Order: sequence, then structure tokens, then C-alpha cells
Amino acid sequence: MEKLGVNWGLLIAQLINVIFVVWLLTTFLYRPILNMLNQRTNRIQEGLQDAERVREQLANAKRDYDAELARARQEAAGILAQAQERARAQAAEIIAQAHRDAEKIKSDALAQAEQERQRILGELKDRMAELVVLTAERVLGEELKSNHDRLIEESLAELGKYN
Amino acid sequence: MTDEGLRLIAAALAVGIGAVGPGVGIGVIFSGALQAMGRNPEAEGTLRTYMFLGFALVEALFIFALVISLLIAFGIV
Amino acid sequence: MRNRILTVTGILLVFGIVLYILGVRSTKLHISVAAEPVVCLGGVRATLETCASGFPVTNSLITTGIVLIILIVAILAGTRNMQMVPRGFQNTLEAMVEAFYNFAQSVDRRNVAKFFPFCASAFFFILVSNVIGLVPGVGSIGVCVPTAGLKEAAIGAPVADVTTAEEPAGAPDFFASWPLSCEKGTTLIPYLRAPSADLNMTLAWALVSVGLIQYFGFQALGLGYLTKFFNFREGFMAAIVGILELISEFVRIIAFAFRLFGNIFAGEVILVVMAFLFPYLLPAPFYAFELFVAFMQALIFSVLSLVFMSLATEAHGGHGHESHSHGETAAH
Repeated sequence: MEKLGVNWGLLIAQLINVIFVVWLLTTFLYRPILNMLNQRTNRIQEGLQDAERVREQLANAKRDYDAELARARQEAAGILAQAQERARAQAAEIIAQAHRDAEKIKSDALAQAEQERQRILGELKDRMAELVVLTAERVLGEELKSNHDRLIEESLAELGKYN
Repeated sequence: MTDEGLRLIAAALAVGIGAVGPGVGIGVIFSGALQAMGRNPEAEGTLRTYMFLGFALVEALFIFALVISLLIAFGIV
Repeated sequence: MRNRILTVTGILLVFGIVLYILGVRSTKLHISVAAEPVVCLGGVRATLETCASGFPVTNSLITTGIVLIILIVAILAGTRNMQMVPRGFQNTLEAMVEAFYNFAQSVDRRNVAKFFPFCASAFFFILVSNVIGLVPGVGSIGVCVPTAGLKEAAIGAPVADVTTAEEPAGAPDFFASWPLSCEKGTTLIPYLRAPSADLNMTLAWALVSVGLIQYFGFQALGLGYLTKFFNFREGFMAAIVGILELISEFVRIIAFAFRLFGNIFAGEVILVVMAFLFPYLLPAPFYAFELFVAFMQALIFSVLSLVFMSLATEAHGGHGHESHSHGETAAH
């Protein structure tokens, strides 16, 4: 082995060197780097978890918001419908009231008109009777007075019929 | 032909002929491993382990040849 | 774009051929399997590779120190003030460590915390060690050592100090007259050499790796781990297989050490030879390939350690156990 350059002193020196290299790299390279990698893994995991949590919260908030919105919308629709209903009822009420009033006014007016007519007719009848009697007195004189009372009544009735 | 010349020829033959078999063997091992990895990529980890194991076993034969050749060339035996 | 690449490559090639013909190239090829001592601390040099006495401070040892300094500087730069949001070099370091950690996890999820420190250290140290050998100047800047007074190597030529045969004596080394180049009768011993191209370093890592494999095996299975090797209850074949397992544990040391050493050393030799044959453009693709090999060898060393550790902690023989742990590995 001597010819191939193997020498006890050198071999032992290299063995020490091997041990030194392993110690050196383990202590100052692998340990810090693997620690750092672990830390980073943890950090990233945390970050991902946080992101997941935030996303969940966001989804929750969105869901809540949607639900709230839907409820509000429903409520608004309910209120609107109610208001419409009420307005419609009121309108109907008002119209009915108006109808009733109009009817009343009309019936009052009719009744009044009828009353007036009756009154006027009564007056007219009286006046007619007077006029007829007057005329007849003038035309016929005294003698007719007693005989034609019935005739006068008849003509008056006739008049009443023509109204 | 001197003893010196014979020794050099012996050394060259030792390493030359000794390289033939392991050369073929290493080719077969890696080709087989690559085919297996291509067919079944999930098993790559295991396959790689055994590939290197086979490689080491075959390579050891060539190392024998190399060592014997060096021993002959430098007149140790 | 493609045209520009072709143009630049062509011009460089022509330029290189002209320089080559003019003789601007290295005519000395120096390859050494062993790491050469730059100085022998408190002793004298015996050969180019060995010290007669004293502690050999080899170029690989010096480069190992430089690799350590690079690692320490990188660690300081990357982790001095760590931020939750990584930036710059911290990011790079974290990405590398995390990638390797995930890979280790995919091999063995249960024991990853136990196996990771050694395997990742092996990966980073060996990666830097491999790549530093490709830096220009490593292996080419050094001290000239006279060969004359040294003992000749007993057998063979561990130092392939070749002066090319086709080079006639009339055509001397182009750089011989340049300042700082080695005189005749001396050989350059580089100050730096990739640590992975030195068997001491690879053997040390292999020993620690295999030692840790046994340690984790005992830790997980107690003395039952030994039944893997000494299995005399289940018949003759099981006993033989156990003994073979025992031998293969020792073979692992050699395999680990020589795989890394062989690959990196062979890579350096290839680069040197290519630079020797034709120094312009020819080595470039090999540099790219060696960069890939540097990464692959670092990965293979650490992954094999990981796999062997993972196997050692698994109870053998009990098929229920085995299929359980396999299911676990396959699960992710």
C-alpha cells in the first residue's frame, strides 16, 4: 500500500479531518439550516391556517350579510305589500265613502226636488182652482155656482192626472 | 519481452477485461431501473435505493480489477 | 449563435495548431499515483512520494486544508445572519441542503436524522474536493525537487516521468528557459492536488463510512446484527452467505476508497494526457465530463453510504420486517 501512497500518518490525519468535517458541517450548516427550514415550514403552515381562518370568516360574514340582506329584502317586500294593501283598502274606502256621499247628496236633492214639486203642484192646484172658479164665475154667472161644483172637481182631478 | 513489459501488459489486461463485465452489468442495472421508474413512477424511491445497491455490487467487481491492476502495475505482488 | 460558436472554435483551433507546430506545449508528462510530499516536516525526503523520516505534508493534505477553508467560508457566508426570507448565498446553501435532505428522506424516512449528517458531509466535502482538482493551477504549480539525490524506486516506476519518445533530443522543452520552470534533473511536485486523488483521504472516508454502517447496525439491532454474518442455525448455505456478507463488509471499504480514488485520479490522468497530446481545445470536453464525474462520484459515495446504513438497520431474514419497511419506503 506504501506504493499507492497510503501512509499511516496521513491516514490518521485524514480520519481526523473527516470527523472534523462532519462535526463542522453538522453544527454550523445542517443544524441552523434545518432549524430554519422547520421554522419556515411552521411559519408557512401558520400563514396558511391564518389564511384559511380568514377565508372562513369572510365566508361566514358573507353568508351572514347575504342572509341579512335577504331578510331585509323580504321585510321590505312585506312592508311594501302591506302598504299597498292598506292603500288599496283606503282607496276603496274613500271611493265607497264618496259613492255614499254622492248617493246621499243625490237622494237628498231628489227628495228636495220632489218636495218642491209637490209644494209647487199644490200651489198650482190651488191657483188653478181659483182661476177656474174665477173664470167660470165670470163666464157663467151666478146660476152655475151650485150645479157645477162636481164638474170643477173632475177637471181638477183630470189636471192632477196630467202631472 | 522484459518482466517490466509483461507486468504492464498484465496490469492493462486486468483493468481492461475487468471493466467489460461490470460495464455491461451497470448498463443493465440502470436500464432496468429506468424502465421500472418509467412504468411505475410511484416506486421511484425504492427503485433508486436498490438501483444504487446493485450498482455498488457490480461496481465492486470493477474495483477489484482496478485494485489488482494497480497492485500488479506497482509491483506490490 | 451557432455560427459564432463555430467561428470562435475554428479560430482557436487554427491558433492552437500554429502554436503546437511552433512548439508551445509541454513535453513532460508527470503522473504519480501517490500524493507527493511538498515538504517532510522534521525529516528528509526518501523518494518523490515518500519521506524517509518526519511527517509528509503532501500536496493533497494542503489541498484538504484549502477545501476546509472553502467550506468554512461558505458556511460563514451562508449562515452568518440567517433570514426568514432567504436571499443570495443563504438561499443557495439552503436549497442544496434541503435537496439532499429530501433525497435522504426518500431513501430512509425513519432514520434520516441519524444518517443525514455524515452522508451530506461526505457529499459536500467530496464534491468540493473533486472540483478543486479541476481548477487550473492545481497540479501544475509547484516546487522543483531534484531527483538525483533520491533513492530509486525499488521496483517498477511509480513516477511515470516520461519524456516523449518521438521528441528528438534536439527539440527541448519550450518552457525550459522560462522563469520558474524546473531545471533539468529536477521534477515538479505540485503544491496542490485534488484530495480525492489521494488514497489516504478516500480510505479515511471509506473507513468512517463503513464504521458508521456497522455502528448503526448494532445500534438498531443490538447483538442480533451479528447473526447477519454468523448464521449457523439455518443450514450450510445460510452460513456461507453470512461469511460472504462479512467479507463484503471489508470489500466495501476497498470499494468505497478505490471507486472515488480511481475515478478522480483517472480523470486527472485523462486531462493531463489530453493536454500532453494536444493542449488546445482538446481537453475542454473532458473538463466538462470530469465536472460531471466529480458531481456523480460525490453523489454515489454519499448515496451508497446512505443505502448501506439503511440496509444495516433493517432486520435481515425476517421477511415481515422487510416488507414492512419496504412498504414504508414506497409509501411516499
